[in-house]
Amino acid sequence: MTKQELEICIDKYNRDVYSFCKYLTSNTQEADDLYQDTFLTAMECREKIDYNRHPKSYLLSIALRIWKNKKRKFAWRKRIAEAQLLVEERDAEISESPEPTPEESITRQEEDVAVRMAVNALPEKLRIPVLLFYMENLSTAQIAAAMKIPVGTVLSRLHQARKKLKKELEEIIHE
Amino acid sequence: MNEKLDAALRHALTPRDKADFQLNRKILNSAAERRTINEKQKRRISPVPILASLALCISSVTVYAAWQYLSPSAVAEDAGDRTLAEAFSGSGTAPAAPPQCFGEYQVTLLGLISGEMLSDYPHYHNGNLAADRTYAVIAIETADGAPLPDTSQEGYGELEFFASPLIGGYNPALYNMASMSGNYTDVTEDGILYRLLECDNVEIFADHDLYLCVSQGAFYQKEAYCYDETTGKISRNEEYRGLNALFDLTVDPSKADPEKAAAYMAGLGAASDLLTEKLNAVLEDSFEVKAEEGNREGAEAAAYALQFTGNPYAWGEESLTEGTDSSGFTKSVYANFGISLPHSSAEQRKAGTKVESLADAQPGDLLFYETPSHVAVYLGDGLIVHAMPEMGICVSEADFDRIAEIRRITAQD
Repeated sequence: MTKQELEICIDKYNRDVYSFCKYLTSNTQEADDLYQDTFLTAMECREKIDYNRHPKSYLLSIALRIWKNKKRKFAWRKRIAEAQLLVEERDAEISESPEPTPEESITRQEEDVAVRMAVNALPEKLRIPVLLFYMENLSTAQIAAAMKIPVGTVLSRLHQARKKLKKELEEIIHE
Repeated sequence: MNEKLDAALRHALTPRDKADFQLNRKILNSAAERRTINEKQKRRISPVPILASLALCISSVTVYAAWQYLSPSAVAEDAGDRTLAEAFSGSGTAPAAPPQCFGEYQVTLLGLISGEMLSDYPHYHNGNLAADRTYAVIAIETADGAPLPDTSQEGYGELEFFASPLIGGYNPALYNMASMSGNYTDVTEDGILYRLLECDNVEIFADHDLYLCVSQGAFYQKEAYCYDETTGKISRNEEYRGLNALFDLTVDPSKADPEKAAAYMAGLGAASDLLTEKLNAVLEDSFEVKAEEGNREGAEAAAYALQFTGNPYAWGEESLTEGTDSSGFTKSVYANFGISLPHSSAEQRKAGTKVESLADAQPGDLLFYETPSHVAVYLGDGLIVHAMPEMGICVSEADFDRIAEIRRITAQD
């Protein structure tokens, strides 16, 4: 990847990659590191990045790979403790953005918080496909490629995740 | 409920978090640093002092259980290369070389495999598929057992190892990973650094001695090894204090292909000689930028650009005297004539009007190369002036690389 391609990629996929890193790590410092390592790793790839072949899913799969390598070293408990903090932090930011009407915004906001917490509570093997599908809008085939698992497994994990989330969020998401 | 859930998930998980400016700046800066390192590695071409030929000696011969390390297949898998992982697990030829411990590090050769289309990521050379490659996996660990930093940790960047196949009879300073289209991926696990390295297939040299060297630093360390020009043998320099592991690679001699090998070496030599020659064009004392009819500005810009030769190259900068990259150079040259160009060469490529071919080019025209983001000022007579990494602002032949586009910049733009 050239310097310009790197600039373009950072510009274009900043939000997608960073949000993914943040949800994956549940920790701002870790997210910063992972985000940085993802782009530097991508840059070291000697070939030109192929814009037709979805640089986003390429970048996300690099992030996943680095995280997989790294997370073994990371204290799981520490992350859970910080996860809650992160949710609060993020919600503080969101509340500043304009929303339709005050009443609606409160319920929407509450719903969002509940959904995010439920997603955060999912085991990682379910959480990653959920993030890639709902946050990053990747196709199940792209998710399969990024996670290096068969498409059928992706589908079944998404199904399991939905089932769990549905149960968890029954009260909040009204018919 | 399902649709509601989908909608709720999409809304709640919309990517809202953004990396801030400073973090992105940091990435671009580190990218620039790494780039200079890579470029240096490629250009390292210097004669090797002939020292006494020393026999290969292994200071510590310990038999290590294979379970202690990841298998080459697992390393390839971790590096995200399925096909290669399968190739390694199928071949089952683990080199029986004992680990080598020199300086502060111990190195183990875990696997070696050569062949066509063994990887998910085929290598391209000048746009052509170069599928015939050699892959090796080594493990590097500290002699005292202290864990090496993870590839995602800060300390990793400060730790440099150079591992490369070497060919007996060919000067290792010239013929190594850097010249044989090599690259590598590092994976760390439990404080052990695993390196998966690849380069053009060396099996065709099976009738020569084949080695794998592992030393510290980003480039080949000529002080760490001895090369005997008469016998063609490569050996460790026993007096060298740091890491200088050298493995003998056992390759089936029937794989040797002397004809192919000779052609490959001739290609490497000729390509680098020709490039060096074209890059270091000599400007005759009598050379003058000729003003073509109707394009005085271009000639003036070319003449102006020429006076900065010898000044340094610096990535991302645009000072004609203190350091500039190629597009910063063209930008600053034209700025002197009141023409403002963007710094990005991709943007510059849209400026002015298109010139059909080099034959139609006039002094002052901008030449954009296929090597992404490289741009030069045409001087006329097939020559250019440009800011080149490692060389600084210099005069070269216009066809040192393939030209992708030529643009004429005029004040009206």
